[in-house]
Amino acid sequence: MSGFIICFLIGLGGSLVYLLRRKKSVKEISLFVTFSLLGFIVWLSIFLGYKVSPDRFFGWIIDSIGL
Amino acid sequence: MENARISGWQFFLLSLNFIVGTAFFVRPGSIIAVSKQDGWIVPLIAGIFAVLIACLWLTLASRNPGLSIVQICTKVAGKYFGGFIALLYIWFFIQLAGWVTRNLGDFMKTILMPRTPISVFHLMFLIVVCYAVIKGVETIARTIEFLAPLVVLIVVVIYLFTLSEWKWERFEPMFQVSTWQLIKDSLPVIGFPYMEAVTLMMLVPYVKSRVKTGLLLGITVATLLISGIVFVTIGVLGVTRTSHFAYPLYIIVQELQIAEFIEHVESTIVIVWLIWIFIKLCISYHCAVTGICQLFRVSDRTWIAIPLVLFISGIAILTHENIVDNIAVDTRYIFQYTSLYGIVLPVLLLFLTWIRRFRKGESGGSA
Repeated sequence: MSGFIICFLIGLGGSLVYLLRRKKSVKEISLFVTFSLLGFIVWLSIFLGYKVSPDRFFGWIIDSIGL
Repeated sequence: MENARISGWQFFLLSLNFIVGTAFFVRPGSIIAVSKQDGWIVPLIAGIFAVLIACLWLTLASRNPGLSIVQICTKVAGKYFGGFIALLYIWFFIQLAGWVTRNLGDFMKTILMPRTPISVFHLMFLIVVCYAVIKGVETIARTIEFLAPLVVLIVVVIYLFTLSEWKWERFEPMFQVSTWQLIKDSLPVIGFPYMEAVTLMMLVPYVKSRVKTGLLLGITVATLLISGIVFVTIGVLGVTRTSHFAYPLYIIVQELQIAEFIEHVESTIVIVWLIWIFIKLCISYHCAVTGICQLFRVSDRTWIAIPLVLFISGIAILTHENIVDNIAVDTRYIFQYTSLYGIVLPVLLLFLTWIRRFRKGESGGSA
């Protein structure tokens, strides 16, 4: 897991430097960081064993509604 | 927005390959397990409903010309509520990409390379798809135009060679399931693959002409292909054997013997499926990226597409535990879940479009 975290931080840092040098808009950079962090959180939850399946979540909602 | 244009023919190929995509391999087993010898009727019923639902989407698109479904959301439902609906659609496209990726991983791991970690397949495929998405919809459409004849040729050849194993007795007893039961059995098939085709409403603004023909013909031909493969599977493998396989088409091809010395031609069908997965994944991935760009008004999609590789590959791992879990979720929830995106939200958007027009007309009249 530590290897993944290190690789992710290096990749994110490198990409941020590139984006800032290319003078990309703040919106674009923030969207890039948001989606990168979302991916990071999803993978972290997999490594830590806290798997939350989106299918099961929506299944639970459908069952709760009674459909 | 991307300044791309695709022809009506390319849109037809996109629709056809998107719908047939994973369903061609995944669906026959589950359909035959439920509806037995009458399974081939199920895709036909589902296809009729799908055409009606597609007419709803086309009506929505014709009332909002030149706009994708994400743009329609923000236009008719306002910045905040519309933005929320648009986010739901973007999530659906991402989830769809996750499902398709997982289908690929499950197939490769259970059938071909059981010792390779599933995420390796996911990441390798997603990197290629990400590159295609960055290149744009025109590139994807041209790739499909190039690959479609190869895929059709292989499928037709396989259809023809399997006829030697054909037995009509495998269809007996026929017409045992009631019409109402067949309609009920067709609900999961309407959910997957037909209702997923709402994704194609993201591509409508790029189509030069014949949008209606492209989509409706795509659905019709896909229906005939899926029904045809279910028919062939029953005739060649029989109901009992098919019900035990997750990928019956693969087994058919694996057992195929041509001229008594050409055997194990299953790699050809793997190529076909990889092409179809590539096409479906490209479309859903592209629609997710385009949706994000349109909602947040970003012009360069490269830096949106790249982090989605990590996100979608993670979602693909989380989506279900194994194939059995996938089939259980699919049978129980897929219709209800995809109905939200395929029927409920389009009806709501159409209703809001009418209200907007009515108000505009009223204010125009009073002025």
